[in-house]
Amino acid sequence: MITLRELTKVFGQQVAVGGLSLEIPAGQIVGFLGPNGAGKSTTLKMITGMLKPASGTAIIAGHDLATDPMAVKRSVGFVPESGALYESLSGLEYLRMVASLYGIAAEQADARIAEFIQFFDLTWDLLTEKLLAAYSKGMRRKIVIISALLHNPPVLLFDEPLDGLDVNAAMGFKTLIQTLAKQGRTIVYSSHILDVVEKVCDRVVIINQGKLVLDGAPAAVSAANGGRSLEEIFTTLTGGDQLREKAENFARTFTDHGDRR
Amino acid sequence: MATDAERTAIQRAGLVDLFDKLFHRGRLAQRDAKFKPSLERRRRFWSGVAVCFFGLIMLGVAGGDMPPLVFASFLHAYTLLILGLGAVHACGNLLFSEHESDILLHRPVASRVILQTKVQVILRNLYFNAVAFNFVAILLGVFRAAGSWRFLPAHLLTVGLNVLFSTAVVVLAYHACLRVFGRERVNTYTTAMQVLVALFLILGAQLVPRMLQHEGLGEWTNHPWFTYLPPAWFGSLDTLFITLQPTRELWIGAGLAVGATLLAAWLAFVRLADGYEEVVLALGEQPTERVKVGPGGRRWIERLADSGLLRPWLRDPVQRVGFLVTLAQFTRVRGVKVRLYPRIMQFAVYPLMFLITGISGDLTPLFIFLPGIFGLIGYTVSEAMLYSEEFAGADLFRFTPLRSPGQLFYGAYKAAFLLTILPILLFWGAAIACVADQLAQLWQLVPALLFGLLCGLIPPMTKGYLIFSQTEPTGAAIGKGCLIQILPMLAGLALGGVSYLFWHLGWYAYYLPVLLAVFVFTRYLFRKAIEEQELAVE
Repeated sequence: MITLRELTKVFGQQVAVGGLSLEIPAGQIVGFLGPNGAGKSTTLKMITGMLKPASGTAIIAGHDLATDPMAVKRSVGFVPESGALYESLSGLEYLRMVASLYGIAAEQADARIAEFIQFFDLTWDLLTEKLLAAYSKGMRRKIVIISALLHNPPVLLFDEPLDGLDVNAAMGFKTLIQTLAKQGRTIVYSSHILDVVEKVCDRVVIINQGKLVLDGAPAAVSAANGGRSLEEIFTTLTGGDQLREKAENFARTFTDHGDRR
Repeated sequence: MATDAERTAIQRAGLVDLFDKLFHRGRLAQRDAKFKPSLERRRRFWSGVAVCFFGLIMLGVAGGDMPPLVFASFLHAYTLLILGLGAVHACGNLLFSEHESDILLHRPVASRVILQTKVQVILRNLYFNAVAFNFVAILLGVFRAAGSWRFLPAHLLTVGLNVLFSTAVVVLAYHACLRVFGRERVNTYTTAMQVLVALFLILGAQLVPRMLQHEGLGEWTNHPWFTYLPPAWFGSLDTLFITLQPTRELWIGAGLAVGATLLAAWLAFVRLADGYEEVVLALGEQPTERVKVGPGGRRWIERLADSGLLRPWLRDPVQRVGFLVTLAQFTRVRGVKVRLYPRIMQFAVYPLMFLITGISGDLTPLFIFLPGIFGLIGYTVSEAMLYSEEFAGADLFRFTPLRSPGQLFYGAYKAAFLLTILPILLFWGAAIACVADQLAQLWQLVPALLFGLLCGLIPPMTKGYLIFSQTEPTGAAIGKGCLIQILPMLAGLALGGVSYLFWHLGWYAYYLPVLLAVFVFTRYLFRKAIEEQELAVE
């Protein structure tokens, strides 16, 4: 469903993503991990057609990104890390606007939105009478997630989707994406919360400095690394193995400087 | 299942609806807790009525009877000013939205379609505003100034051309900035352009009518260069329709109106549209500019605060924080700059007309007026320091152990003094020195300065004042602020009158120390009231 071959993106002198190749079949949830600045968001933005690759190819749902970007965009639902939306629209206006961009008529969109509202414990009153600027962080996140799922895409890309969601909403969302994967949708899940990735994903991909450094099923990866947790493997691969010692040393500086109250 | 054509139609309609809402609601709606989408039609209606009313004021400024060409050119001059400001704001806010790439660019819609629908919405709304602005003028033109029914269709057409021209010119100006300065700094120059055009509008609105009346409206058409002024292009086209008596000048003007408009529109909306996607992406990718740093990795703001001149003035660490925050907000934050500078420049340039009359010798009206003007500037600056789109950052002051917002304000006010009040004072000092008979007259600026400084202490005496802690002012807050501003103006005028009386009587040397003592005492009372304020916790 997603095929990346030698995908590369360069900003000025800096190589953000360097020759990334991946094959993700339908029905798989892939945890896409990496430290800050590793190139995760850049990769996701290239797959969505928001950024043009410097070189390499990306085939999404059978469509070549270079030759048919609109078909790719129709096949993809994306939750960006920023969670950006137009704050001067109400929730319903925003979702109707997004539906229209996928060619969904207002009546059809309303019927589908009603189903999402019920699932995410939102209300019509809230959606019609309040501007998004007045929503809580969690509610805004729900709107962004709905806007990614509204057109029923076969490929879903999530960049920190749980940010701001409460425990119940997060639980519901995790179950939802697992069920969607069973229906044959491909899901790329980028997050720093490794526990969630370990539980939800069928496969883990770690990139560092724009390069692929690990690819495999969580259990297999753990077994191949002496039964270590995903967190421990991640820190070793991304140069963070001195973290514990560094934190302990720094904590001592607090006692050295005394109480400043 | 919808066909491709139906999908495209739905997509375009959705985008037009989106940008129309963004155009009307702007950022103000986001911060207005009482705003409800269902009340929007009423708001739009009253906004149209307000624009209509401004048009009426414009006609009041114009005064008596004018020949058709002058009348039409006058209307187009003001329409251009109003449209220019509207176009700069609309283009700045709609064309260059920071987060738009994350919202729209991964959807199946071409960036060219996004640009086209934005331009369509901007043109439609600006045309509506321009017609509302000219509504009374059109009636006057049909029944009196032009005396022909043909003025109605002619002016509706030329206003449309005027809208297209001014919007295209603004878009071209943005394109030029993109090429010259690069897309990374697009936020900086959209702000700068909004501030500059607002200043231009204010200056034009204040000075042009007086210059016109000074020379006599009818005389302007005798100048050979008149035909080549943009308002005269559209005025010539109007006149051609009304009089049906073509002259060489009218043909040139009308040709320029049509030719320049089509050329500007083609360049702005067709020729240069290709780079639009890159710009929107750049805004999303690089929301922050690189900050220039000097020796020791310190920014100019920090170097200024630590300079030998200012260090003793900013000994208090909390005041220093207020100073640094305010310098950064006044020089970098878009909303703060757009709200602050046009407003204070409006007050700062207003006395120019008194100075113009003073060239012939009498500066009396200027000196009576200046304390009121400086009072308004001081008040406006302090009030502006309450609002910022980065209001959430002020929470820092709420959870750090500060007893009162006063010390923060004092530091902030020092920065505001350096950036706004002092340059305006120097400007006026230099202008008066050039015009006045004797330099001793500069002493008459002292009451204005003292009064301005005092008025700046009024807003922080109100409950809940904390620098840059609130979102944009709501309509009600703006209205209340306008009413309150009348008081410093009136008190300033009274002070100006009294000060001038003492100057005239030759008692100024005795008056100034008394005034200074009153200032010190009042300042003490005001500061005491400020320091008694507690930090507001929401």
